Amino acid sequence: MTRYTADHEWIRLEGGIATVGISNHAQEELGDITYIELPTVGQTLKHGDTLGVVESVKAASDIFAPAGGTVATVNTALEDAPETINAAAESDGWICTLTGVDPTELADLMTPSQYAEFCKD
Amino acid sequence: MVEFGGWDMPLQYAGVLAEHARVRTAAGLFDTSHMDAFWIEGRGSLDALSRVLTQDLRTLAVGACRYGFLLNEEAGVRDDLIIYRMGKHAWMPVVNAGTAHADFAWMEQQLAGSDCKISDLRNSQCKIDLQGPETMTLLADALGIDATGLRRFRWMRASFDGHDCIISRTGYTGEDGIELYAEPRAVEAAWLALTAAGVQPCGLGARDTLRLEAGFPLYGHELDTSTSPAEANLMRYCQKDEPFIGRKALLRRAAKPAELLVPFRLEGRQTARHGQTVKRADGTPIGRVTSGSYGPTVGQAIGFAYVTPDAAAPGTQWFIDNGRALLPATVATLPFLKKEGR
Repeated sequence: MTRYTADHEWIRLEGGIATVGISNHAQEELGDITYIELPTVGQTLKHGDTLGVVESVKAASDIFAPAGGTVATVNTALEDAPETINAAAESDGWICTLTGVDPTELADLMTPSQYAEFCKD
Repeated sequence: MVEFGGWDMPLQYAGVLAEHARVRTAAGLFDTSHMDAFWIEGRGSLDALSRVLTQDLRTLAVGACRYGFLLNEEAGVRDDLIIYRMGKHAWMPVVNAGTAHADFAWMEQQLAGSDCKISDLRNSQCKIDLQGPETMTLLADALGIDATGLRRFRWMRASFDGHDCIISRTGYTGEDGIELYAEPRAVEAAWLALTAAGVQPCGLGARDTLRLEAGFPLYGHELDTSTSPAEANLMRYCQKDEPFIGRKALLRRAAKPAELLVPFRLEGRQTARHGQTVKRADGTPIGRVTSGSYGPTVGQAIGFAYVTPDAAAPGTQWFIDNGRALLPATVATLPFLKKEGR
């Protein structure tokens, strides 16, 4: 199940590991992405902590942790190819994985259909 | 769409990077009708305009155009502009959108009492810029105009499909290219013919990354009324042996500039942005960033900053505080983009 935040991150919890990225809507709004600052493996984050920074030709935006957890892996391929986020924000453009995520924290986030509705506004 | 100089402007059509690449490798088309042009005509125009602009107008031939500034008494830049000599006693300055109204009022005031008239071409003329290595081919194919004999900073009259236009070999991208001036309906026809021929429409985003890589200043960023061509390292556009408004102050500021505009490169892709502070390693502030972006063709983050003169030599290293980290930067030389064969 994929869930979305009002800040346009997505999180997908599968087998105790949560994968995090920015939404397709977010990459469309940002335009061509030219740089990403990834979190550090082992870093512990609380819900809402700054997890990284994404820069496009238009602007720089903070990425916030959609839930608390510990950074298990980061998508280092994005450092040389941040445009992958434009091409596949919600698959190959994932930013990091988190362990120790409390599934109840995801209950407050939006479902894909709720998020699609949210982005219309 | 974004607001720019009082106009709703497209930031991008196909994406900034795609548009940027098309201009560097083929051709792109910019709607620059937000910019304004004035028409000044009369026997007193040469003397009157020479007092108002930094360009040496006496050596500017009919058929040529030249870059320079409109300064205030303190040598602050009211605007940067290209002036076209349209006839012995006829001139067309082309100015920025955001400053156009103030420029017109200022010039009207300064030219009052001279034997010349100034009018605003806002409602009668538009402009598009065709830029890129394929400019001349596309101009011939889509509009049937042969401008291959036109030299840089020269203009010519031409026509296509019954429309008259003015074409100058100028631009704001660092590539070969032209600017086309005509009445609005003719410009629309030219736009449609060129895009139908496959030219990529480009927005303000690519216009900014292209001009930055080419090392051109942008009014409101590198230039404003608090800065003069002395600090902006643009004194070469103010060389003439006759008085003009702001000259005294300009020479004083050039003798002892408080700050200097320098191009810089960052180490990687992370960019610095307008308004961020330049610091020494020990945290002492020494300047401010005026423009910054990832340079798509250069392949790294680049920008402009005003820094204290002791920190302005090429190769000098300092840091840019982006609010989260100190990004290491090095003073560069222009142009950022070094092309083979240039």
